[in-house]
Amino acid sequence: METYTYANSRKLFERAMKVIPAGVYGHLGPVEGSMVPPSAFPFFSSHAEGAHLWDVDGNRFIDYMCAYGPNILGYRDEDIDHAAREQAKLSDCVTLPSATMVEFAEQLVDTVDSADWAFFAKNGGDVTSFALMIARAATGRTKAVFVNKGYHGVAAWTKLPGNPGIAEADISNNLYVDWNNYQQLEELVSRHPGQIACFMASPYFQGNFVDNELPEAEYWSKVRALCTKHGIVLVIDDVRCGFRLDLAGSDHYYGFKADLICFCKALANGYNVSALCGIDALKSAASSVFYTGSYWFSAVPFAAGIATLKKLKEIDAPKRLYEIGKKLTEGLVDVARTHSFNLNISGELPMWYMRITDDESQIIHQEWIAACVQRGVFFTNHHNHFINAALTDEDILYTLNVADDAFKAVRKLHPQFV
Amino acid sequence: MSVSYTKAAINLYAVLRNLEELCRLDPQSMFLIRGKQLSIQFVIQGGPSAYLLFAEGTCKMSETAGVRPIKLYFRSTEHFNRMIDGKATPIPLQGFTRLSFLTKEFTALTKRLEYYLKPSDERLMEPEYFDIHTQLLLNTAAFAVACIGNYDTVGQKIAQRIPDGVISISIQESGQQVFLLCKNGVLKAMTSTSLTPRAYMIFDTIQAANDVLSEKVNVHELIVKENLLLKGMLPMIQHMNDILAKVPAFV
Repeated sequence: METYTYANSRKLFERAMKVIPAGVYGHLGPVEGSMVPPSAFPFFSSHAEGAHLWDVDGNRFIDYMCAYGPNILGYRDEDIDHAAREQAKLSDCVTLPSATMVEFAEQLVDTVDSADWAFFAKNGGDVTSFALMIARAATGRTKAVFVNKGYHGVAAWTKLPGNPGIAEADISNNLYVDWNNYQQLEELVSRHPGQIACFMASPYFQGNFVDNELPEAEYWSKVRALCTKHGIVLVIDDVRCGFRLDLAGSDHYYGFKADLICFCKALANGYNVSALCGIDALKSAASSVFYTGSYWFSAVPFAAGIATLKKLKEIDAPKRLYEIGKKLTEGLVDVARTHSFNLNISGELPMWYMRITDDESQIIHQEWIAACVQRGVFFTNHHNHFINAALTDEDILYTLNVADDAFKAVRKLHPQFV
Repeated sequence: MSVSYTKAAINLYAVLRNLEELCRLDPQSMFLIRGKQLSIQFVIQGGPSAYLLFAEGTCKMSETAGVRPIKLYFRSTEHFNRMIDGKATPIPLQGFTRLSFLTKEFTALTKRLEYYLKPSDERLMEPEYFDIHTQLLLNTAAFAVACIGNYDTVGQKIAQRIPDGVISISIQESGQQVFLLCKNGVLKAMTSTSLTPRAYMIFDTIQAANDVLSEKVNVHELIVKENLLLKGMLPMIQHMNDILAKVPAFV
């Protein structure tokens, strides 16, 4: 197979470096560990459709990052874009909110099992921060428990000691436990009686550079009971998983009920809106926190969100995403095996994590991912991937062919694996 | 540990340790220690300790005593740090007959070290000087990272997050390589190891390494252009860099 080159991406990056910190900052940037080596990756897109994106050099990619989650139905899905266009003809950002906000909240309350109300913002971090504030307002407590290496956004309270720009006071109320370690959580709660406002976690562990881990049997039911017993608000950060596992929420998928549940990414198929849903007992506390933003009442994303929820239900999206994920990951593992590599799949299949386990530095994995990208399949090195409903059997077949050719290229570099 | 302790550890284990390389690379320094068979013991009250061993035309920092020692005592870590800044003198406790080495050759050696570690714009134009300066700079950075990770309060917290294994930091052009061994949150800098690294930070040129270590360049740009290649277990490098960013506060 021929490999891609990225002359225009590089030129654009040169321009970007002059006027934008880091050129491309954050998780889409080339220096955050998801593009190794950077020369194998495009930096800028020109357009996208369905399961594909095109870069500024005209290279087409099957995109398994899905904008890091928002693309769940396919880029530029006509049903969603139509709903957004129709709302745009009426209004978007106006002095008063539109009826679509109420309708969207009603839809979410009807869809999400634990939701008695919904509150809207823009990003996942907006609603995880809000959840923390509500928990403090409701309990009068200050401390919060998180899972080691968990991710809840980029606000100061989510950071760690020594991270640039962080004061000790920003994180002085944070407590940490290891994922799936109920006993540790129980001991922590007993060491801090009446001080813990909330336990916040994603539905399962989605670390980077390590295999993802599902909850052990009864982990969540025990956590739920512990939180209830001690008056601790149980917050589920469903920003990444939301609607890919279960339209009723990932807490529902794992058989428990969250007190607060955070959504973003897949909520409106790429239109910018996030939501915090909660139980009735926390509605008053939510009302008491003054929390808002200039664009948080935009009607167009609400209309897109309503249309997205409708379509996700119509196509039974979680089932479909699981089936696509299963077909794809089984194929990838099989291709790896034919080249004497062990590709380990972990996490839930609509958001699978993969890692070649043959060297602990993960350099072989990085080389294989780079070779796939250069052949038109957009993976990243060390983050979970995302399935979208627009992926076809043809896309999967193409992906497996690319994976095969990429393994051949890697095998040439490491003949000891032949 | 106190800030002063961490600074003393860096001054001893990262800055003074450079005498090892200096005596290997700089002809004037080589000449100064030629034929010398003795050691200097640094005893810092409430602080780190080490020996500098001079033998067979080499200089080596060691945890164990050498022959014919000169014992230098410092009342505190602050006293030692002031000595490094040239504002205090040590208290000799042993080896009085060898004090002339301290006042002549060793003083000259430390001046050579200062010459290479504190460059002027003019000197940086000389390729030979630039190469040695960069080598010492990289060594200082690696050993200082280990000190900050082991002794500084925040540094310790960052070090705890570094996955176990070895980080290799190298310059392709000169072949220089330093290593940072991370195990259970404890760091050890080394100039050689038989262990296979889990993460690599590779500068293509001496210039690229110098630009980064002297904070003269946007690191992001170097990474994207692959003048600085990162590969392997990148969280090791990312956390190490959080410690590296603290080095200027101590040196």
